Amino acid sequence: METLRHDDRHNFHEVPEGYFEDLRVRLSSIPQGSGHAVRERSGRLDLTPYLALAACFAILFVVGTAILRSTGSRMESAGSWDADEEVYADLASADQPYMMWQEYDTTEEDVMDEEDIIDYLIESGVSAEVLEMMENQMLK
Amino acid sequence: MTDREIAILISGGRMEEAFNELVKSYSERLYWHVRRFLCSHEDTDDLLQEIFMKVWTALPSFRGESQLFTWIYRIATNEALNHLQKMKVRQALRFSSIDSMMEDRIKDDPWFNGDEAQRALSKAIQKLPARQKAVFLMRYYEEIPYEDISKIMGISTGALKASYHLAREKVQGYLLKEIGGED
Repeated sequence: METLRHDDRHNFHEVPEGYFEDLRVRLSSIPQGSGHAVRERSGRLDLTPYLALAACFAILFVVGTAILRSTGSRMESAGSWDADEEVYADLASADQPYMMWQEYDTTEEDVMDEEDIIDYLIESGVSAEVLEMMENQMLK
Repeated sequence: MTDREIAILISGGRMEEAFNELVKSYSERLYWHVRRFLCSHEDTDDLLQEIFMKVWTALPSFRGESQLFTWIYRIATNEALNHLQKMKVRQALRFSSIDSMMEDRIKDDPWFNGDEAQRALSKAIQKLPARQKAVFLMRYYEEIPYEDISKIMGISTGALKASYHLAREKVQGYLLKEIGGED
C-alpha cells in the first residue's frame, strides 16, 4: 500500500501576490547596509520565554532554600542530641558516672505557694494596690 | 547566470554583483526549502533575510572548493534547523510542545491550498526528528541527489539513505493511521 502520492510533491502553498519580486529587492539591499533594519526586526527578542525561565529559577531558588532550611533545622535538632550527650558527658562525675543516668521522680509537681507569688510580685515592682488586692484574696 | 559564473564573480572579488546573482538564482528556491521546515510564511520571510545576511557575510570565505549550490543550501538548512531548535526550546519554556504548535500552523495556514491528504503529509513530516525531516524534505520534494544532500548535511550517503528510508516509513505509517492509504 502506497500512501505517498506523486501529486503530493507539488507545491501546495501560496505566497502573497508579488512577494518574490519584493523579496528580491529587499535581499538585494543587504550589501548596502539596509539589512541592519531587517536584522533588528528579525533579531527582535521575545522576552516571554526568558522571563519564564527566570521565574522558574526564582521558584527553584525559593523552594530549594525552604527545603534546605527545613532539612537544616531538622539536622540541627538531631545534632543537638549529640551535643547534649557531650554536655552530659562533661557533667558526669568522674567518681560516679552512672549518676548521670539517674532518673528523677517527675511525678511530684513543683508547687508554688502564695508566699512565692507575693515575693515575685514585690520583686517585679507592682503597685501597692495590686499587692493589697492579692493579699485580700489570699486572706479570704 | 550559472553557479560557475557566480563563483567566478566571487573569486574576482565582485561580491555585490555575485550576491545579487545569488539572490536572483536562489531566493525563491530557498524560500520553499525553508518554508517546508517552518510551515509559516512570516517566519520563512524573516529567516530568509537572516540566511542571506549570513551568505553576504560568508561570501568572501567561499573558496570554490564546494559547489555554490551545496554551500548555500548548507547555510539555509543549518539556519532552518537552528530556528526549529530555538522554537522547540521556547515552546518547552511555555510548557507546550513544538508538535502541537506545528499542527496549529499547518491547520491555520492561510496560504495553504492543498487537500486534506497534503495537510496530513505536512503534519507527518513535522513529527519527524530534525535530521530525518531535513533529508526527507530535500529528497522527496526537491529530489536532490544523495551525494549533494551528503555535502549539504555533512553526513555519509549511507546514513542519509537510512534516514530517508526511516522517515518515509514513519510518514507512511502516520498517513495510514490518519487517512488510510491509496494503492
